[in-house]
Amino acid sequence: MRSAIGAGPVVVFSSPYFIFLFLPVALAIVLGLRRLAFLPAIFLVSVVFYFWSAGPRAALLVGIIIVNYVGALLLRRASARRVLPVFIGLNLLVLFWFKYAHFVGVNLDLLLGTGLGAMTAKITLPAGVSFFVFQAISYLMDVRRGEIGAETSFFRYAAYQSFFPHLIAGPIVRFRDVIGDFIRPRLGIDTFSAGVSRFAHGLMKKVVIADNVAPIADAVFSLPAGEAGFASAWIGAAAYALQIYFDFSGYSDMAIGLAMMFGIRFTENFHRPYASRSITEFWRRWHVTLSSWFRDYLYVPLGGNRGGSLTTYRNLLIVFVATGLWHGAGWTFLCWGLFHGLFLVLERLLVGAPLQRLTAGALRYLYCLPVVLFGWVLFRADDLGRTVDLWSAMLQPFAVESLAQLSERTSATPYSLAAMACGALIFVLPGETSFGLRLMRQAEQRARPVLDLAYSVGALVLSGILVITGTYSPFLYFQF
Amino acid sequence: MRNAPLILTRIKIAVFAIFLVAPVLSLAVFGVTDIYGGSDHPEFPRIGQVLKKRGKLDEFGNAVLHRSVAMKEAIRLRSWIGYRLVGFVDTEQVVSGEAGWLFYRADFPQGACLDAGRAARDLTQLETLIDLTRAAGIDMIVSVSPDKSTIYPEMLNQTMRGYWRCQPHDGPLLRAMMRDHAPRLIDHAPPILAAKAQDPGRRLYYATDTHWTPMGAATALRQLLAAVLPGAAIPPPTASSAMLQQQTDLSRMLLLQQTEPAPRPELTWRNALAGLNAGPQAYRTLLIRDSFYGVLLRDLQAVFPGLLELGYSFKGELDTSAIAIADRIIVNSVERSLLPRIERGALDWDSPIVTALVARNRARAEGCMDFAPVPAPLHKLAMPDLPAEMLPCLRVTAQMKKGSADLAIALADNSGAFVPGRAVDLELTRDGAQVTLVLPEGVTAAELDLDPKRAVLSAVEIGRIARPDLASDQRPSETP
Repeated sequence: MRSAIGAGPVVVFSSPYFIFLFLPVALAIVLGLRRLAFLPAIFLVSVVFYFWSAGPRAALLVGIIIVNYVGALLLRRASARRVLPVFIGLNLLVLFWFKYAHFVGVNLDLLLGTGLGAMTAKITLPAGVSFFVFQAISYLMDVRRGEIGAETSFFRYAAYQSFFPHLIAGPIVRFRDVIGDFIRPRLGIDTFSAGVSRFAHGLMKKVVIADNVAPIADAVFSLPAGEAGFASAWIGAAAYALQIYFDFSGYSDMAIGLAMMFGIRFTENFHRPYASRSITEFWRRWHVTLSSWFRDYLYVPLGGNRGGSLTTYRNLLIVFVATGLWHGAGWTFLCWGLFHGLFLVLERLLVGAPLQRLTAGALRYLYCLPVVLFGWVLFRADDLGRTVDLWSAMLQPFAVESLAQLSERTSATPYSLAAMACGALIFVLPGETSFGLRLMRQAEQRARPVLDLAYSVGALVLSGILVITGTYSPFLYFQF
Repeated sequence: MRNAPLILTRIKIAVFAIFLVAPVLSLAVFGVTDIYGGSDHPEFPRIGQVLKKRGKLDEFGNAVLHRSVAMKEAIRLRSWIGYRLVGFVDTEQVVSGEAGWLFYRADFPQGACLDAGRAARDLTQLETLIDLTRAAGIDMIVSVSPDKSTIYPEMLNQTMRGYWRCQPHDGPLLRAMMRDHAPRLIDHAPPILAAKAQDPGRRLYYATDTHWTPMGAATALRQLLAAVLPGAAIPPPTASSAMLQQQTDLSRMLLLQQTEPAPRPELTWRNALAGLNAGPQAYRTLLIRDSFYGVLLRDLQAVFPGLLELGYSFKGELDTSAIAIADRIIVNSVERSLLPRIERGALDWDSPIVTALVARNRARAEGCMDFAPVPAPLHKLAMPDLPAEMLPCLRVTAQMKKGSADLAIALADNSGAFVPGRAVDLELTRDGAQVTLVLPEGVTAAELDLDPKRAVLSAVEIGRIARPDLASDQRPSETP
C-alpha cells in the first residue's frame, strides 16, 4: 500500500523472515512463558519485532508507551482538563513531526519560500506510528471519560500498546476490548487452531491475490498521460480496489489470527465492504476500527449530529479530511477523504431517501462501487493531474482498445489475471459474514474439520512457496 | 470417530508448526545447501550492524533462508510449475516468451520507454569519449551486442505484452540514435538479422539463455574484424556438425538446469581467423567486455596475440593498468546496458575505465607545444585553424577555493554548435588544478563550466600536437 502505513523497510507478516524466523521464536517464548511472564514476554517479543522494522527507533515506541502509561495515571489524580490536552498534544506532536512536517514544510516553501521543505526532507516515518499513536490517544480518552480505569501494571499496558500483531498496521484495538484477554488469555487448542485458519486465510489473500493483482494496478497508474483507455482505466481501478482490499484485509486477518494464537481476540476490521449500497454503509464495513475511532474521538467531541444539519455536515467533512490525511501526508489523500466526506453529506442531504427506493443490486453496482472505485483512483494516483487523466479515461466508453493494447497497458499475466478473477468475486459476494471470520468460528467449534484442514494447509503451502521464493534474487552469472 | 475433529485440529496445528520451522529445520537436518542461481549465498551482516541499522535483520534472515534446502526446493517447484505446467514464468529476472523461450527482464525497461533526447545525449557522450581516446593515440572501437529481443521479437509473448511494450519503440529508436549520434559504433544487430533472414532455421540466440549461439557470435565477430582490419578477407562462418551443449543461464536462474545444443562454426573458419594480420608486432589490444564477447574470447585471442582483457563485473577494485599500455581498445556492451553504462556505469566520466582513458590523453598532452593564452572571457574560446596533421591541445589552470571542483568542457563541432553530451567532465583538485588535454579533430570552439564557489579559471591556453597514427582510421559502415 502506498505510504499509508509507513516508510522504509517494514517487517510485514507475509515476509519470510517474519513467518519462518520471528514467529516460531515468538510463539515459543510467549507460550512457553505464559504462566510465568506472559505479558513481559509479549512486550519483549513485540519490541524486538518493532526493532526489526524500525531499528533504533524502537525507542520511540517504548517512549510513547511510558509517556502514555504515566499520562493515564496522572489523569486519575490531577484535573483531567489540565493533563489530558498535554498528553494528547504530545502524541499528536509525534505524529505530526514524523508524518506531516515535511508535507507542511514543502507547501510552506511553495507559498512563502521558507526553506522548511529541505530542512524536513530527512524525516522518515517510523512504521506503524499512525496506529499506535491513535491507540494511545484512545486509551487516554477512555480513561478521561471514565470508561476504563488507568492501568496500574506497566506490563499490562505495555503489552497492549506494543502487541506486535496490531502494532504496524492495526486493527486499532481499544484497551477496554482486549485487556481482559491480556489478563486472562483464552489459550487453548481450539483458539490456536482458529488463529491458524485465520492467519493462513489472510496470508493467502495478501500473497496470492493482492500481490498478484498489484502489477496490473501499477502498470495502469504509471501509463503516460492520455494513454489509458476506457477498459484499461477501469481494469486498473478495479485492480487497485482488489489490491488494497486483499492487502489490508488480509493483513487484518493475519493480525487477528496471530492474536488468537496468543489467546487474544481483536475486533473485526472489514465486513465485505464492496457489498455496500452506500458510502455511509461502506464506512461501516471498511477499516471499521479506524472509522469508529474517528467517530468516537473526533466526530463526537466535535458535536456529532447534535448541532443541526449544517454542523453535522461540517463535522463529517472534518472527520473525513482527517481520515484522508491519516492515510498519508499528501493532497491526493486529503482529496480522497474529502471525496468520501462529500458523498456522505450528499447521501444525507439529497439522495438518502431516493437511494432507499433502489434495489440493493442497483445501489451496489450503479452507485456505491463506481463511487468507491473513483475514490481509489484518487487515493492511488501520484497527483491530482494523474487522477483527472484516469477519471477522464473511465468516463469515455468510446475510447476502445484492442486486446493487444489492453495487454500492454495492464501488463497482465496468467497469474495476475487468475488473481483478479478470484479476487473479483468480492465484488459479487453478498455482504454477510466475511469468509475469514466464518473460517475462524468454524475452526474454534471444530466444525467441518476436513475442509478446514485442507484449506488451511493448502493456503499455507501455496503462500509459503510464494513467500519464501519472493526473496530469491539470482545473478545472471557471466562465466566467461 | 468422535475424536476425529480433535485429531484433525491437532494435525492442522502440527502442520502449521512444521511449516513455520521447515526452513530452519531443513538447514539443521541437511546442512547448508550448495550455491544455486549463479550467486553465492548472501553474507551474514556483522552483529554490530544488526543492532545499529534498519534492514540488517532482514539481511540476516535472508542469509539463513537462502542456505536452506527448503528455499531451494521451493524455488525449483515454483519454476517447474510456472515453466512446465502453466507455461508462463514471471519472476523479477526471467519472463516467458513464446514456445518455451525465456527472456531476461533487464532487456525491458520498467516504466517509461526510451527518451530520444536522453539517448542522443548519451551516445554523443560516448562518441566524445571515443574521439578523446583516439586523440590520445589509442584506436578505440566500440561495439554493441543486440539483446535477444532485438533479434527474435517474434518470440516475445504475444498474449502477455506488458513487459515488452516499449520494445517496438525503443529498439528502432536506439538504432536510429546510434546511426545519427555515434556512427562509429559497431552495431552487431544488422548482420545477425541478415543471417537470420538468410537461414531462419539456424538459431543465432539460445531459447533459454540471454546470449547468442556460437554461430550468432561468429557473425558478430566477422563484422568486428572487418571493421578493425579493413581489407582483410574474412569468409562468412559456416556451421559444423559438432554441437556444443550450453547450460542455459536463464533456466539455471530458475533452477531448471536446461541445456541447449547449438552448432559450432567450422574449424577451418576459426583457423582462418588465426591467420589474419592483427596489426604491428607489438600492437597491444585491450578488450573491455561483458559476457557476450566472452563467447568470442578464444577467437579474439587467436586474432590478437597477447590480448589484454578487462571485464565490467568485478568485485573490489578494478585494475585499469592495462589501459595505460594499450594501443587498441575494443569495448563491447550488450544493448540493454549501453546507455546505463554511459550515464552512471563503467563508461561514465567518473568511472575507473574512463578516468584511465582520460589519463592516457593527459599523458599524451604532455607532448603538446606552442601554447598561447586565450583572451578573456576565459570560459569561451575559439580554436585556431590547424593543419590537417595537427590536433589542438587545451590547457586549463584553475585557482581552487575548495578541495575539488567539477570542470565541464563543452566542445563545438564543425558547424560551431554545442550539443548535449559533447563535453568532457573532469575533476580538479588542489593537487591537480591544471589539466591539459589533446582535443579531437573538428573542434571549432569550447566552453568551460566551473562552479565559481569551488574554483575559478586563472589561465586557459591552446596549443597543438601531431595527430597520432592509428591502426585504422576509417572503418566500413556496411556489413561485409
